[in-house]
Amino acid sequence: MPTTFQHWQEWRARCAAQRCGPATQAELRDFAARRFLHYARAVLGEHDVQPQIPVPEACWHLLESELAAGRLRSGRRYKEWLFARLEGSRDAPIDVIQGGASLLMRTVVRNWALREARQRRSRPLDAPVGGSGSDLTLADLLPAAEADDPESTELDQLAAAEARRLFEALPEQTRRVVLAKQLGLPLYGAPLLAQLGASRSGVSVLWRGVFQTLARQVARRYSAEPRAWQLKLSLRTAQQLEPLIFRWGSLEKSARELFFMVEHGRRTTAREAAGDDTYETT
Amino acid sequence: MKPHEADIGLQRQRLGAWLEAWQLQQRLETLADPPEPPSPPEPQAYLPGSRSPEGTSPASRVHPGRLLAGAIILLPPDNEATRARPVYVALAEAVRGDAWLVVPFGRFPVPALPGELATGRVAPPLQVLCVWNHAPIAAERLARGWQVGRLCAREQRWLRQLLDLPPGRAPRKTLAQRLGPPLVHPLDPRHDYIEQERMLWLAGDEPSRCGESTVPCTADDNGTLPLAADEVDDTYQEDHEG
Repeated sequence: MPTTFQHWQEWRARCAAQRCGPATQAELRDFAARRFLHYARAVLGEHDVQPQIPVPEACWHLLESELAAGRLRSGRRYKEWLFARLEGSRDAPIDVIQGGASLLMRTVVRNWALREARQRRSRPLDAPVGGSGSDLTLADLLPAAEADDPESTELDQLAAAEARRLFEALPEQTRRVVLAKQLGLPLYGAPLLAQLGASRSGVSVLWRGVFQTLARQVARRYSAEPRAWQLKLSLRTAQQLEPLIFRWGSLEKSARELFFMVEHGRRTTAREAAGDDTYETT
Repeated sequence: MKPHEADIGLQRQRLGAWLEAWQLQQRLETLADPPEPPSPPEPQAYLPGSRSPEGTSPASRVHPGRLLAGAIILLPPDNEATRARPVYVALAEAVRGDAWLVVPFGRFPVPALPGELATGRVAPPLQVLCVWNHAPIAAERLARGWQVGRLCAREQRWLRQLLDLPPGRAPRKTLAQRLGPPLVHPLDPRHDYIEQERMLWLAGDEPSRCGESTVPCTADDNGTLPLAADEVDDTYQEDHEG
């Protein structure tokens, strides 16, 4: 049997599933167990999940305990959040509640997987961590601090030249994305996406593409150098790209709007802080 | 091992833990829900004004006039980001007009960035404070949420220190040890995380539909979590604190 809206209402009123009637307890428990198994299989794989998966009662208990923000009744306001999602929704109430509970259950499974299956995922420093198609490692993302490096000046000179080369090759739209990030504008905000003429994923691809291009450029031109040296040069080049982009942006007409957006953001923040709807932003 | 090598080793370990959480989250977000058995006929739309189902009483919302620094508020699900997960914020300070500077709690159990602070709390939703993502929020919006507790004095002190830290200055070592690893590489997945988290404040919120006048509930809570069914009656605290 599926859960009904009444089951969830009873749970909301009675604080915990254990205090609900047998039918409600059973349906909520089964709902949680189905979701838990589905998500756990997907993230850990069938073989890894079977011996570890909690019993159905424990799946529901994990939901109630993982989401609590404290011991007191006030720590369980996530239930109010779940029901407040109904406001303004045109979907059937049971779908809204189950949809919200599914979102919550994903968090529960994620935290469970982090705790219970940690040993199988311990990774060496040189293992890729950047997601599919990336060979970035933990050592790349957090390189060791540089001691006094006698090659530092020479490396900076090389980085300046590489930054100039990279900058010249970047299309205008890509430069604007890099400038927006540099100016601290929220890249995924609708106004900026409209300004840049790109989607969220498009902006992300453009941003990442700059530094993937840089890594390839450095690897190609300095193929005889060790990977750690190439990384060092790439990071310095990325730093040296910033002033080039900023200078371009401050002179380029098509990029001027980005500076206006920074100013607009400041004004909007001030307006929101003041709770003033009449603040002019022109 | 030199001290800085030990530090970087620890930071890599922390970053590795955060990346695990991030990658799990990415995979979970792309999953479809499992098929549910067919439901019996039910109301097809939620009726406005029926927020209090029979037999339940809606939890107290926050009275805007009684907001205090250090309060922890669960924001109402009024935009895409706050509908996707419960978002908790801590009130840092009142700002000009009728608003508060708020600091959101993170969605992961470990800090991602140097601007994120591990609180050391047991409760998963309140384990990381994302100080870098602070924002001014109108008291009226906060009042549509629910107060779930308060920062303890130590947490408030840490928060203050981080908010007041001049750019380029490092916090004291004891505090720095509670912060996330530095962001160095332009292709670090945390750049995407930053952009996602900034969306918390970008989507427009809807006007309030409920006018409950409530008393704030407060609860200092840093202890272990009991079983969910081990109900603790906090009516007294709700009625008499704040």
